[in-house]
This record gives sequence, C-alpha cells and structure tokens, in this order.
Amino acid sequence: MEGASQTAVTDVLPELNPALDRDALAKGFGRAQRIHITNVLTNVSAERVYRALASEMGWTTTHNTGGKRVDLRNLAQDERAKISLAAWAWARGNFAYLYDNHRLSHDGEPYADQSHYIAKFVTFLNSPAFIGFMREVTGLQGIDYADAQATLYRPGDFLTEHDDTAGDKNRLAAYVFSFTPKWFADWGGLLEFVSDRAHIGAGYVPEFNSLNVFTVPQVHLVSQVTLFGGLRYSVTGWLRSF
Amino acid sequence: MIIMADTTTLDADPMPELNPALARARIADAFRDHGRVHIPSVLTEASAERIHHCLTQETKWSLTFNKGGDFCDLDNVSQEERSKLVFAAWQRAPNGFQYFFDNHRLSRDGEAYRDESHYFAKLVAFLNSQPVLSLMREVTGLSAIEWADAQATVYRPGDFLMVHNDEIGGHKRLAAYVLNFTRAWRADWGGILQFYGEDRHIEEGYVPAFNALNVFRVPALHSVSQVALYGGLRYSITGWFHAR
Repeated sequence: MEGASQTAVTDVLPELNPALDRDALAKGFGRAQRIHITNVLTNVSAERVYRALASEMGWTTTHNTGGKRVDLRNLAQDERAKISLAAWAWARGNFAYLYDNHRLSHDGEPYADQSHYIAKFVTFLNSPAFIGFMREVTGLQGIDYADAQATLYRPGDFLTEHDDTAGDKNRLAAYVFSFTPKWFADWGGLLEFVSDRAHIGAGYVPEFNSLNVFTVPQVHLVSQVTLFGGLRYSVTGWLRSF
Repeated sequence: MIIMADTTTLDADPMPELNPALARARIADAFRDHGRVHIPSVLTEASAERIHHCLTQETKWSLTFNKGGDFCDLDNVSQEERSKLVFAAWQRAPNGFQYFFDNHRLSRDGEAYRDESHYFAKLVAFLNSQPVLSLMREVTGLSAIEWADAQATVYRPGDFLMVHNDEIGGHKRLAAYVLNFTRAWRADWGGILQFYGEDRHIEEGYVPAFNALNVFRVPALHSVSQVALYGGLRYSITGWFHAR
C-alpha cells in the first residue's frame, strides 16, 4: 500500500490484478455461491480509487427511518447524530440502513462527470475485462453490466438483514469492492451471511483492495460499525442482465 | 425451535436438566470436524425457562471491563456512569484487547455457589455434575474434562469482547462454553460469537439464542461482536471446562 508516490499513480487506469487464480476463484464460488477475492486490482489502481473515495467525493447520507428512503446532503455533524439515533430506534424491529453514498451508475451508464477519476472506475466495471472476469468466477454467463454506488459507512452506520430481491432489476449477483486501507474485525462493518439455521455462515472483513461477490438472493447484512471503528469505503452494486 | 415441555407453572423450581433427546453422536461428529458446535434445545424447556428467569429477574450484575492489563469490576454503576465508562472503553479499544459487559461470578474454580438458597446454586452444581461433564467429554472427545467454572453475563447495546484466543497461563482450560438464554434475537443485532479463520475473516458465527449451548476447543480465535446500539440484552452463562 505504501508503494508508488502519489504523482506516479495519479491517473493510472483501474486494472485487475493479472496474477489472480481464476480457476480457484471459480471453484470457491461454486462451493459457497460467494467469494472474497483479495488483491483484486493492481495495487496502484486500488490506491487511486481509494483516493477518489476518500478525498474527491461528495457524500449523501441515506437512511430509511419510518420505512421510506431519505437522501440528505451536507448534513452537519449534530444533525447526522440525531438522524443516527432515530435510525437505530427504527432498526430495532425493521429492515433499516444508515450510511453515506454517492450514485455512480443506475443502470450501467457512464458516470456523469467524465473528468472525475471515478468515471474511469465505472467504465472499468462495465468493461469486457471485468464483466468477463465476473462471468468466469460466478459461472453466470448472463451477466451483461454492473450498476454501482460508492458507499461510506461511518461509526454507528449499518445495513440490517435482507436478501437483495428486486423483481424487475435482473440482479444475478451482488458485489462489494473494499477500499479501506486498514480495518479490524472488531470494528464491525462486516459483510455477514445468514445461514439456513439463522447463524452467521461467513463474515468478510472490509480489507483493502478486495472484492466480495455473491449470488442473489442470499440473506446478508452489514454489521454496525462500532463507535470505535473507522471509515469504511467501498464501491458496491449488482451484476445484472439486460 | 422445538418445544420440549409444557408450561413452567406446574413446576416452579425444576432442576436444571439436559434434554434427554440430544443427538449426541451427531453433535460429537460436528465437534470433531470443526472444533466447535452449537447445540439447540440443550436443556429441558422448563429448566431453561427457570434459568432465564433467574438471569432476567434474580441476578445482581456487576460491570466488568479492562484497562490494558487492569481488570475492573464495579458494582452499582448508574446508567450515566456506565455510558461514560463505555465511551472511555471505546476510546481505548483501538489500542489493544478490550472487553466491556455485565457479569456475575458463579464459580471461579468449580466450587459451589456462595448462596445455597439461590437458584444459581442448583445451576453451578448441575454444570459440575456427571451428566454435564460426561456429555462434554463425549461431545468434545476431551476425556480429561473434570470441572467447570462459570459466570453469568449480560451484554447490553454497545458491549463487546474483542478478538482473543482464551490462552492464559496456569489454567488447564480444555473447552469454552456459552449457554444462551436470549430470546428473539436478530443476526443484525450483533452480540455474535464469532470464530476467525486463518485468513482472519469470520468463518462462522453463532447468533444468541434461547436454550442453546456453544462449545469450542481452546485455543480458538474468537470474539463477541459489539451488540448493535439498536440491539437487545444478551444473556448467557459462560465459562470453561477444565482438566484437574
């Protein structure tokens, strides 16, 4: 992670790590219908995406307190604290979420601002290189494109149990790229899968430059980031068919 | 969950008792394969109900937490004071191992509970009785198991036990156990007993349940994830099975 200097990596293109063992990944996915892929991008491109998320992104707070999605921009810290308290109360008995996001691509279209580095990442997500890689790993040949949002979970943020079913969106698999440089499992913010027996079948720690992919539907959640945790940056969405 | 027995009203003070219908061979197979097992409906429903009542109504809790290598136990902590202490614990948490929850010591070294008239005395005697010890030997294959220590715990929203492996010098701990007495929990409420794989991700996690026993071999990297700030009260009886 401490590799090249910033000037050298400024506008490197997002690129898959050429050393990935695709056969092994496909086998792993075949067994569990989910996989955690470490070092998925070249390190320099992962560094560059992280910088775009941490330093060059405007965030919108999104929550569903009361049962309806609300997006709020430019919240002051005390306003966000109030919203958090209400979101936690709602989460106790309902499907609920609270985090910051930034829409990148609703339906696979290019990012609106082509001069922003994140536009390159959206293009990458919908490139033959990435879509082909995802077909290979998942075996889902019907994957045509990816939608995407950037997300930032702050201490106290969460996403409760759900299975990603959305009737009209042709979601074949969900994906999460993690870009947080340093994270501890004790900080929460884990992508956890709920097994048939209502226990946790696996939990992925948001480790830098990793990619989680899993089939839809599958009950999962993002555990609450502890108040002693950090900032959890990712790019997430679904792999879809036309 | 399978209901094992009728209401508790007929039998107000049942003795703690194992569910006679446990599939012992299957449980032992699971333990042998994974070094841990989650056993639902481990007690008769009536005795589980009685212990649950004890935990929710008849237990005087102390706050327990650590400051580095200092282990602190505090009685009669007000809610306001507890909030201050948990904030301080959260601030220390990035710097090393940390825990924060309420407990009540039942038996340090397998000795009887101090108040013979309390239902806990029956529970401690039960944990050190032949039926339980021999079940544990059978399930774990650890034939040296001779006695159990025990504490009652309640994790409240914000409470946690960070990752550790239970290796402490001077104790002959063979297996750890957690008897769960939490009703109507949700996986997203946290408080999950999490086991770590070699890749440092979560290999498996047991969600708090009612009348279920988790047993796992020591050492094993594990933690109790923070109870979400929107979670409930997580009750359990926990400790280790030891060799003499």
